[in-house]
Amino acid sequence: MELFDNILLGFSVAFTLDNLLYCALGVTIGMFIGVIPGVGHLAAISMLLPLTFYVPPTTALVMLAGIYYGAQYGGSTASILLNLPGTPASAVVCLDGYPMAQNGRGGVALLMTTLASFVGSFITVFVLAAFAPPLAAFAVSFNSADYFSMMLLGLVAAAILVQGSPAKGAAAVIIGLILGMVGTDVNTGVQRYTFGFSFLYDGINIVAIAMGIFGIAEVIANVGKIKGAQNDHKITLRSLIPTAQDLKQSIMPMLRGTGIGTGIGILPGTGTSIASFLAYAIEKRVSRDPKKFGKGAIEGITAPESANNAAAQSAFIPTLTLGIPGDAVMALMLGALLIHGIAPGPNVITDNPGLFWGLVVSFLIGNVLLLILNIPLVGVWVRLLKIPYPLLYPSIILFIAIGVYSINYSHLDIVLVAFFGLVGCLLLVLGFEPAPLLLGYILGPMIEENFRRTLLISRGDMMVFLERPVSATFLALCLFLLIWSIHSSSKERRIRKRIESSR
Amino acid sequence: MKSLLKRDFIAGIACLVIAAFVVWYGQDYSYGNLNNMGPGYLPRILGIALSICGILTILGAINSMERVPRINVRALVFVTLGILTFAFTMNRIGMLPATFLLIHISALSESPYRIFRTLALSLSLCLLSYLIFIFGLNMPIRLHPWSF
Repeated sequence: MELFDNILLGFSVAFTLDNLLYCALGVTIGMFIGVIPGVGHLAAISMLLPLTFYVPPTTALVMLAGIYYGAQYGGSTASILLNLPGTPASAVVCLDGYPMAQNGRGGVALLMTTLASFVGSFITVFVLAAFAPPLAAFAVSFNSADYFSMMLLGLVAAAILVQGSPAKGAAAVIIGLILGMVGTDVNTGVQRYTFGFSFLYDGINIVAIAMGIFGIAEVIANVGKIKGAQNDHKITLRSLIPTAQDLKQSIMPMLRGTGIGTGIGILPGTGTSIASFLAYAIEKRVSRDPKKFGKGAIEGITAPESANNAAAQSAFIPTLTLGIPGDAVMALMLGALLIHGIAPGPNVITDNPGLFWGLVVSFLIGNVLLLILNIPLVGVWVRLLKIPYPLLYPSIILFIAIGVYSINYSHLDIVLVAFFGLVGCLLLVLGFEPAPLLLGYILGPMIEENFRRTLLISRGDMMVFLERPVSATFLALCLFLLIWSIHSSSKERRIRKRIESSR
Repeated sequence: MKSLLKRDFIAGIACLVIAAFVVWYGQDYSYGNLNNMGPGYLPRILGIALSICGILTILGAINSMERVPRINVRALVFVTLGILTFAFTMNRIGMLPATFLLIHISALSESPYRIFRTLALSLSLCLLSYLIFIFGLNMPIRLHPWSF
């Protein structure tokens, strides 16, 4: 009956006027951000982070989370109609969604992706409610060695699961760890890599890094490229109606996508993009007719959409139970918690049950709202695609600048944003992925602290990491991932060689 | 000469340069030992690990044909310039004139520069940011040269 009480508590928290209002605001902003290509949810959340200083922590998280999962819904609209992903996670939807739109089935594709998003999110909210509390209870027994190994697993996963070579993924993670060292060393008080600037003593502002390498670099890469919708897409409500065949073919892909997304989301260091790409690859493999993929196969849009929405919800599991953010968005959520004086970790659920269960119930409400926002109002979102980018990008830059300024009222944070914008462009040019870098930056200080504390207690004995069963399990998983990546990259090389020699 | 322009070759060199800088700049931090690590322990380990990644990336470049993609230098310059101008003017002359400057400078990233559209955009954004940040959130931000 405890679960029932908890859910009741969640409803009483989520159904206050403020929380309902901020939930609706969050999902609407998220949807807006998701639909428009070139505006990422990370930039949006960091822009709106200062806004949440003025409301209670639960309300703040309800809104920020709404932006996050709302963007997952909206991302597929531009993919389908413009062949241009609204969010990175929905890039894979272009492959089959755009051909569907060209065949005059754009409306069906929009409806099915909305449905798939809803299925993926809704199921995963229940997984979150069922698994988070026992996991948190278990995590109370974790010590610093276990935390170290778990975060190491997150970094290894982030380094390996990038597109391109694992060496470059690892390099991105390490550069992130190096950036994380900037500031006062907690154990000795030594200033590391601050170059004498007092504004760096507390470390580099995470919002400045996130906005620079994602927000600003995104703008610079997109200026002149995004043209906006040229052709008129008339999406009538009638055109949304799918056939019975569409629905029947989508049920299993949605469920498989949900499963994959949930698993990927729980793993720290991975994100919604990996979930949707993996779901697509698996769908293609299990299909009886793999040739139809890329030509408008409905499974090719429903499975990835379910997966990225499921991953967006299940990413809250490690964040709220262990205090370990799986990606940059979750790190900003943890930042919001810290600002309100709530220390992230396994005690969040027991100490603040109203926060956890209120958030869970708000996810249910938010998803229903998104369903309502999407289906009758589809025409509004389609019209949004016509906003010209030249009007959009100066506005994005302005809100980023004011947003980062309002955190510390320091103009030097704005200078940092400009600097990390340049860094982000450099990363883009050289083919380093920004996401693992940011994860390294976020986890770096936590990893170093736990590593040093463990070895201080064990007097320099490294075996302690293998003696604890939890820690040893995480390290074994790291090793498995490394071997798997070396194996698969050498296989990829062999295949590439075969292709080149046959030419 | 061609191999020098490969994307992964430059990426690997960049890793080596960063690694060398981190180790060189961090040599003053005390190293400590395993049972009591100093602030310089991790920087060295990370520097070494990054240089290994750099070397692996350079080796990987031998088989790759990928060139460095073109970047929109004009956007890079004007967007950065716009943000920096905003950063250094908003405390002195206030948020509204700084907003005006930011929008006009960053709009130069694209040709042609449309003066009327940009003017309309900058004025409406001034109004919008006033409504959100000052009227709505009561943030203590200087508005124009004649306020506090």
